[in-house]
Amino acid sequence: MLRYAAGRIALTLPVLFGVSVMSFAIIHLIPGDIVSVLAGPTVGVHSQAAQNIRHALHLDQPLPVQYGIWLMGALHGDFGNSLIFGLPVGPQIAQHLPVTLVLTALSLIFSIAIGVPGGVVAATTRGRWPDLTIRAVALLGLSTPAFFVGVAAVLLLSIYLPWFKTLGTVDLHGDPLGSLETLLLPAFVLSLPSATTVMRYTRVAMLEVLAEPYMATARAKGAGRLRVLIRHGLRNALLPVVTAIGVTAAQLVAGAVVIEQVFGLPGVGQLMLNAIYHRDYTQVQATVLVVTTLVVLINILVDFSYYLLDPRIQQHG
Amino acid sequence: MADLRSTVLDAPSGPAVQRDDVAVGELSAIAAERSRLRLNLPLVVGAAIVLLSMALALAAPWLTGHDPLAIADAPLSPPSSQYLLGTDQLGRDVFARILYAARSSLSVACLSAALAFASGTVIGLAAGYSTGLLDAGMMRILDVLQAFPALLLAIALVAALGPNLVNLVLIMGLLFMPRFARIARASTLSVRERDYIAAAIGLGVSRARTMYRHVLPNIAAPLIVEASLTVTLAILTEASLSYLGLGVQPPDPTWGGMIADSTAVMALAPWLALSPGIAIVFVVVGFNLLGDGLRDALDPRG
Repeated sequence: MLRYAAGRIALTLPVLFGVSVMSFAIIHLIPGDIVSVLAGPTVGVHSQAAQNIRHALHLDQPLPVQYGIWLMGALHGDFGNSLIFGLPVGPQIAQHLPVTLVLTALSLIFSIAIGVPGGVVAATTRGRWPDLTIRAVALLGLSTPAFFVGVAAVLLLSIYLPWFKTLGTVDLHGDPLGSLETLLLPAFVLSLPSATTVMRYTRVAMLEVLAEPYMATARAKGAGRLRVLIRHGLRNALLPVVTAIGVTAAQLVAGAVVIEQVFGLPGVGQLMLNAIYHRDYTQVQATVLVVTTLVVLINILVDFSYYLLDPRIQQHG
Repeated sequence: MADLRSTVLDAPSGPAVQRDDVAVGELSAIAAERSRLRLNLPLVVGAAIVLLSMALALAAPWLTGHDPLAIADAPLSPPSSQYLLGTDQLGRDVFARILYAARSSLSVACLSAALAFASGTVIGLAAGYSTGLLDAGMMRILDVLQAFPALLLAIALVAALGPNLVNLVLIMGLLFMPRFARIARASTLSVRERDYIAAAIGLGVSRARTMYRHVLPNIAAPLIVEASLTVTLAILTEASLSYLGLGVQPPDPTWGGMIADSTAVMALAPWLALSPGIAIVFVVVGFNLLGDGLRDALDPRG
C-alpha cells in the first residue's frame, strides 16, 4: 500500500510542477506591460513610480527567479497580494473555497444518485423503452449547457413554484442548513452533465457484467433477481463508476465556476471571474493553481480507491 | 485496425450499393455489415441536423431581412410574423441574432476542433512513432494540460490573451489537442507493429511518408469520431465563455451572451433566454448523434 501510494504521488509531482509553471506563465501572457496597466497612462514607463511597482512585484528579476519566489511563497500559503486591493489573495481563496467544495460535493452525490440507478436500469432493459428513454434523456443532458438549465430552472420555478427558494444567501458558518437548501438547486443543475457521464459508464460496465457466466450461476443457485443485480452485478461494475467519478470531478469544479455565476453564489468561481473583470491577475493565477491542485489531489484519491476496490492492483502493484 | 480502413471508405456508399446486390449480400460478414450500416439512425439524423444548422448559419443574410446589430423595433416585442422570435432588450431581432450567432459559434467550434485534430494527430503520431525521450516528454506535457479543468484554463487564458475569435480558436484548439494526441499515439503504437509497416520500411519508404501514407489512414477512424464529439465540447465551452462575457465581444451576437443579457428581463420576455438555449441544444445534439453514429459505423466491434 505504502509503495503504491509513494509511487502514485511521485508520478503526480511532475504534473503539479507543470501546473504551477503554467499558472505562473498565464500572468506573463498578457500583452503589453502590466506596470503601465497598473500605474495608469500618466506614469512614464521609466519613471520612479513604475520602477517601484516593478520592484515590488519582482518584475525586475529574471523569469526563473520570479517563478521561484512565487512558488516558494505559494508552498507556504502566500500567493502574493491582489493587484487591485493590495490584500493577500490566499485568505480570499480560503474564504470562497468552502462554498465551491460543498456545491461540488452535493453535485457529486446527485450525479451518483441519478447516474448509477439510471445506468443499471438502462443496462437491464437494453434496447427496450426504459433504456431508450434514459439514453435520450442522457443525450439531452450531455447536449445542454448547465448554465442554460440553471437560467431556465430559475425562470420556470419562479413562475410556477413561487414558494421554491431558487436564489438565496449562502452563509455556511452562520446558517448551514439554509445554505444547504440554497445550494440544492444549483447542485442539481450542475450535476446533470456529470450524471450523464456516470450513467454512460455504469451502463457499459453493467452490460459487460450481465454477460458474465457467474450472473447466470447466481440466478440458477436461486438468488433473487434484485440481489443478483446488486450483489453480483453492480459490485463488479463499480470500478468504471469510480473512474467516472474521477472524470466528473474536474468537470464539476469547472462547471461550478459558471453555475456560481448563474445563481450568484460566493464561491471560487465568482472570486475568479470578479478578479478577471478587475484585471487582478495575481488572484486569477492563485485561484487557477489552487483549484487545479485540488482536482489533481481528487484524482489521486480516486486512484487509491481503485487500489482498495481492485485486488488485482494490490497484487501487481 | 487494418479493417478499419475499408469501413471508412465503404461507409458512405455501403448500404446503397449492397442493398440490391444479392450475390454480395449472401456473404454473412457483409450481411452483418449491411444491417449495421442501414439502420444507423443516429448517423443520419445527426448529419441532417449538422448540415441544416450549417446551412442556416451560412444562409443567414438571405433568411432574414433584419440586421442583427440594428435596432428594429420597440424593445421586448413578443414573437410575431415580422419578428419570428421577438426582439431583445434593445429592440434587435432575436431570430437574426441567433442565426448570426450560429456563424461565430460554429466557426469557433469547428476551427478549434480542426486545429486540435491536426496538431493532436501530428503530436500523437510523432510520439507513438518515436518512443523514448521525445515520447515521454510529450506525454508529460499532455498530462499537465489535462490536469487543468478545461473550462477553468480556458477562462484564465482568454482573460490573459483577450476575448476574440482567433484567440478562442487557438485556446480551445490547445485545450482539446491532448485528446487527439492520446488516441493517435495509442493507435500508432499498435499499428506500427503491423507487417505492412515493416514492409514499407523494408521497401525504403521514408519515415515521414510511412507515417502519412501507411499509419495515418489506419488510425483515422477513432480520430474522426473524436472530432465530432470535440465539436460538441467546443460549442458548449464557447457558450459558457460567452455567457461569462469572455467570448466574441458585443455588439456581435453569441448564444451564451444572449442568455446572459436576457436574465434581467427573463420574466417579461422568456423567449429571449429560451431560444438561444434551444439553438445550442439543437446543434450539440446533432454533433453528438453524428459522433455516436460514426462510432457505430466505424468501429468493427460495435
